[in-house]
Amino acid sequence: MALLEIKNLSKSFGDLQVLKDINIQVEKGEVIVIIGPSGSGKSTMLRCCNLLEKPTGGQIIYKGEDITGLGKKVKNYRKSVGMVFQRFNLFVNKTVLDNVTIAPIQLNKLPKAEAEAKALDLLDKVGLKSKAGVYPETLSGGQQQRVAIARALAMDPEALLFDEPTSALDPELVGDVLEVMKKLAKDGMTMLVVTHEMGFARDVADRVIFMADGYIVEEGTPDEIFTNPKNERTKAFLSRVLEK
Amino acid sequence: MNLHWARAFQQLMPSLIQGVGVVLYVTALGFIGALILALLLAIGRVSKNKILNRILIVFIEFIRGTPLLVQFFYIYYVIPMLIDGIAAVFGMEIDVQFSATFSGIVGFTINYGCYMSEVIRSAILSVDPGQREAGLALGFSETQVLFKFIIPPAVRNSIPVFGNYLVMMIKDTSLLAMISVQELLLRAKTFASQTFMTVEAYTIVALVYLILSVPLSRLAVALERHLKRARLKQKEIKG
Repeated sequence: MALLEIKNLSKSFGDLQVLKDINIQVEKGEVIVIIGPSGSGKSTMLRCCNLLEKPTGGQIIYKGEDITGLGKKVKNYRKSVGMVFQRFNLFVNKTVLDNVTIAPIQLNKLPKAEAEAKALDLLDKVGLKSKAGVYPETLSGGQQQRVAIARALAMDPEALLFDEPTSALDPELVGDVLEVMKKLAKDGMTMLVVTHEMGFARDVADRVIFMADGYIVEEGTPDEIFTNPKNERTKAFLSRVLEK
Repeated sequence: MNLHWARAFQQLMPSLIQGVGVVLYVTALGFIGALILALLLAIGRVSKNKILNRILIVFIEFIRGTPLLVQFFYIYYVIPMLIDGIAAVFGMEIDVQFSATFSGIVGFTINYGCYMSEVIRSAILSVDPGQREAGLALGFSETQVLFKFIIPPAVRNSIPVFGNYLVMMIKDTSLLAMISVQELLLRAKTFASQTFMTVEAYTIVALVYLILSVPLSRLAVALERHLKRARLKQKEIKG
């Protein structure tokens, strides 16, 4: 059984249909990278995966349970599937340490000392243990994003959703964040990543999905997509982004 | 014109010092009341309950559309009579009276509460929606998100404006002279009419207001700076 299954997902904003009949199966430990031109619905698709956007049709099935009809119980699902945002979204009124510990302490009832020890450990892993006591606004974008990853990891998620995690970063800060993500992938984390980083997709992904106009146009191994794309739109997109 | 500053000062000051006590007491309680009411109203206004929202809009517009002085009169004279009247319908004969000071505190709570609720409301709306999404994505409920991640930064961002309202409230306590609260203006007025030292009395009282309000507005600015600086410093973390 797939860990996460997106089944016939569709989403409309008013008359505008942005997702059409999306089907993805995510196996445990798999890293899936979703690429495609802006406006193709990638981010919306990812946001539907934890119901930050409510799907118009279709199902999101997690461990065999359809979560689209859960109502308020969706909280429990969200605890086990973390999300990393394009704009980091660290809590501005909390220190770095509190950002990482608040959910485990308040939602999982982890004792404070234990949560803090674990948080410092995670911050160490993303190279920011020394920043535990500062407020997010004093950090660079790349540092904030690594804290955001540590915050998501603190809940011991079964899977992580990344919504263009490096798009808002200065070019020289992208590398550190991608490094952390690579390490996660190697450690067996299940990841669904929307990104424009083709190098990351090629190196890390188990599967690459190309989306355009709300459809999944093509999917396959990185090799299949990058060296031998079949669809014309995939070819056109890749030739444009890889030229740069 | 003969002015007797020293004599006026000597005779008026002891009374004004008591008046300062009244002003600070009413302002302190009125402001705390206004803050609490403002927070409740703002939460109600950003809630998704449409009926509650409508009711609150009407209430806030009603309060903001009538003068504070009229509200003081209404609370001091009219509300007790209304309560008596309602009690009479149920066959009870009571004679409710509010003290002037109490009426003043309630008036400030309601009037300033309404104005300040709009400040908090717009501060809440201007908090980055990413804060809410991050909270939800971790598994917090909408209510938890509101109280943990939206309201604290919103209130913090409102502090400079609150400082202005506090200074305004100090000055507005002079309106309470009209419902016989023994604050500064009423004391000066009584003194002037008894001694005919009109110029001296009103000049001195104006200066006392100035001495009260200027440090307060400075304090608000200092508090804002302090909060900003505190966030740029590193907190001590053990481990």
